[in-house]
Amino acid sequence: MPAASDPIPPDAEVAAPDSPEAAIDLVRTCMADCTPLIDYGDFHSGLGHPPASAGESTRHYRYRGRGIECFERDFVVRIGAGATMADIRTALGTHGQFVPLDGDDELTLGELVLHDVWGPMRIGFGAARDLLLGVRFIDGQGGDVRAGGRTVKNVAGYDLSRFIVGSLGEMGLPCELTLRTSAEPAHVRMLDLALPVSSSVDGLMPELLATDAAPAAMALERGEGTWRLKLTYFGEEGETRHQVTALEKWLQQKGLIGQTADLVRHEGGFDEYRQCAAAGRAWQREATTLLKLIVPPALTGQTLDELYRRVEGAGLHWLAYPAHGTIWVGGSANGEQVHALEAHGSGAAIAAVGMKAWYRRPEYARKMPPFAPPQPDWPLLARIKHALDPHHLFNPGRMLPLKERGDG
Amino acid sequence: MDPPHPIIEQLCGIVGDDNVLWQRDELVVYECDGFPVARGMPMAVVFPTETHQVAACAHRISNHGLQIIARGSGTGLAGGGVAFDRGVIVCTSRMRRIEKIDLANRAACVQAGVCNTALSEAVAAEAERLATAAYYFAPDPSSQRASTIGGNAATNAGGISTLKRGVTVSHILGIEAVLADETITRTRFEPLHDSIGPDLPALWCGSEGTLGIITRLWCRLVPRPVNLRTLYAVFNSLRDACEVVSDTIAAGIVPASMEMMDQRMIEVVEDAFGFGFPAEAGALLLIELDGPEAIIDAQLERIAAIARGHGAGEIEQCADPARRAQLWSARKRAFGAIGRISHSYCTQDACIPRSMLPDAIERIGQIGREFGLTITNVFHAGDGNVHPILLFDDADPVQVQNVLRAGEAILRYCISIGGTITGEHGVGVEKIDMMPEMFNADTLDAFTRVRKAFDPAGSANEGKLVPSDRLRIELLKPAAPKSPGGAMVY
Repeated sequence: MPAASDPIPPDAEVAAPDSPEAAIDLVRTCMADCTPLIDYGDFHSGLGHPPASAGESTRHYRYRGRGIECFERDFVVRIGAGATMADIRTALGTHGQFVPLDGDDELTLGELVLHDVWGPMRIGFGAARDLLLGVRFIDGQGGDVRAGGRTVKNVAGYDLSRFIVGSLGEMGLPCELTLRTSAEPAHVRMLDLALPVSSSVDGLMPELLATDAAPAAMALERGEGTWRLKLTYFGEEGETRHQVTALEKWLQQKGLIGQTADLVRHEGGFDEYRQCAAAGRAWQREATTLLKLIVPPALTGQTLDELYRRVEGAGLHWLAYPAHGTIWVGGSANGEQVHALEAHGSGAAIAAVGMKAWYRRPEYARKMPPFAPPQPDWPLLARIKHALDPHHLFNPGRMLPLKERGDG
Repeated sequence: MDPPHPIIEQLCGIVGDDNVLWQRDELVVYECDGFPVARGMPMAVVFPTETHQVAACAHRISNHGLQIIARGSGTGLAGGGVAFDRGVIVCTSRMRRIEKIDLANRAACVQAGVCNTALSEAVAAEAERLATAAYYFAPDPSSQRASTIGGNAATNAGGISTLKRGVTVSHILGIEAVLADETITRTRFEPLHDSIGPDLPALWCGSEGTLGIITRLWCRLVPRPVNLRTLYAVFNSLRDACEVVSDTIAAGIVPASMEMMDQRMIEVVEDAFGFGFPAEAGALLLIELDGPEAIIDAQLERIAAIARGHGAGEIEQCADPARRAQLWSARKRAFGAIGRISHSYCTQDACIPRSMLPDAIERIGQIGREFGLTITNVFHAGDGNVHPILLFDDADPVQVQNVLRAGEAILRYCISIGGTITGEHGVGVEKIDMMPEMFNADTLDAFTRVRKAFDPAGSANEGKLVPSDRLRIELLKPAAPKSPGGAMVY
């Protein structure tokens, strides 16, 4: 079922610049004819307000440049924004390296960065904001902006590289991204721990992360009628064995293994981890309803339990990252569930001074605000957008208020 | 004596007489930061203690057409906290309140003037009180005992642990700041580790006071390392030592720190402190690991094997805290040792791709010879962040000019090999003339437009970080050793 807010009409022409020069030409064309440029991504088309168009027409695009230049000895890679995660994995795999960002194979790096896509490996490696060293993007005046560079430390100029992470394509058209890479781990051990209630994790995180058992990847999922904490360790075989032993001892001290007697272990190579992680989030691609909540990390489990109870969430999928306070919920929700998610999701976000965002919702739910509550920095971000994109070409109104919309 | 400008009385009305300096002999201390070549006398220095006072001060200063210069402890190394062109320094050093330590969410909220190590000490005390795991604020610039967290954020400070832990921006969750028009603005401002939307805290980090004044921050806390190991190795050549750095990372080991000194620096340190290093060694490498004991012991062995493979002469692996402290003191006291051999020194802060280190050090040496200067090197090898130390006599105008020109030549070369003019010290006024060589016109124009979005009137530290059409600061050499230096403002 198509997303409720798929902004590309079926018969629309989609521009496909494949170089920075072609992207500059496209932007200048749009400047000349005052046509907004829309790219909500192939996997995030339901996120945000529908495109606000200056007139009747909009122009859709996808950046297709996908060159990959690996600076092997520096553990740095420069990538065209149109390259997919599969392209990147293949190119870096020949050097025994990888970019430690969880993203589906078909996802382009540009879409990943603009929507700040991340997953279980964030706990061990960080997210795009921590790995990005430089960005080349085209601004709303057709300018060729090159922020950051190839070095792992760089404080020259404003950090526009990190600034565009999560910017939902409103600040510019990224063409090239330079990131740090890591050595592909030799060995992987994964553990799957059943928990009676998700709030069990809330008190555990600060201590777990300070032990020898601090994982390289972690996620909390609902599966087989129970909550399951999935922990992954990367390294040499002896290193992962040591960490898993440390984890088991710690769980015994906490009384968690005795209660559940359900600790499933896997081991293998990095590909096994990738496949497990992808399987854990596969439901998100098919979901007709997809909601993200952000709360302080210590409230993750409590929020999950409460929301699950209120939404009668047995038929839905639940995925959380308890070290970061991020919760994903969705699937094929019925009308009652959608309204309950909106009401209680917004309530939880507001109570925790966090945030809620609809990534996908049915057509009848289109009037629900895509983001809640309004964020304190939106007015300033709107000024910055006007500075970088004075003609409001790039995804206008997707998140930041436009005066003509009458938004706050 | 009456105050020389009406702003003084207005500032006194906001913060009280005791929190405003305006007499010349009191202001001399504030005419430079850690980069003494750049000197400018402020009109006044004001010490607010609350955000609303910062806002009121900024508003008055801006209304008078004066420059607002944000300053923490004044440990900056690029002249960013120096007042030119009728500037008033807004010093946050008295905004020292730690507002909340939230160990459950691994975060802390502080005013901008809280000292870097003071936060970690407070967090340690709180963890002990609660009998929980030890956490700390990870950014560790060498100035950390004096520098403020607001200043660390404003310069996106680094340190020797950035290889593993990242620079300051990776440890900032949210920022409150005051704009020149007295608006108090916040990014997300709770202990949230995720967000949706552009990364505005990242834009504030490294902005060097040119967007506004940072007043409060939510800081991310990380587990304090418990188990530490240090490896010390000497090599005949710098190239061999650099290969060990690259091979270590290629082996999947990410040390906490990797520091290097060249042959000249080893001589200087050995002469000064007698650590027992072989003075003829080509390079000295210090590597620190932290993590689970069993793992770092095994990694230490692997690194030692890599070092032997590249011809290391002496190798020492140690866990003993006293011996580790002694080894690291050699690195930390390196700059201090320079005082025995040179009247003055100037250090650069370029960052280059790590693989280019050997070539870069060689070229830096050549540049030194071209300008008749001795240059020693100590650097963050894991990051590619070089700190060539140019030795000179600041009473000799020829040497001063040569130092400035040699510094530019070094930076120009580093740009040419894919590097940056500053890895951690900032642009300030010191390197602003290099910005057009680092960035193309479109990028500089984007920077200018972003700056104007925050500060349309150009009141916040103009002439720093981003070249300005309206205000150009040109550094002059001091007329004599005991005469204050200055700057020409256009």
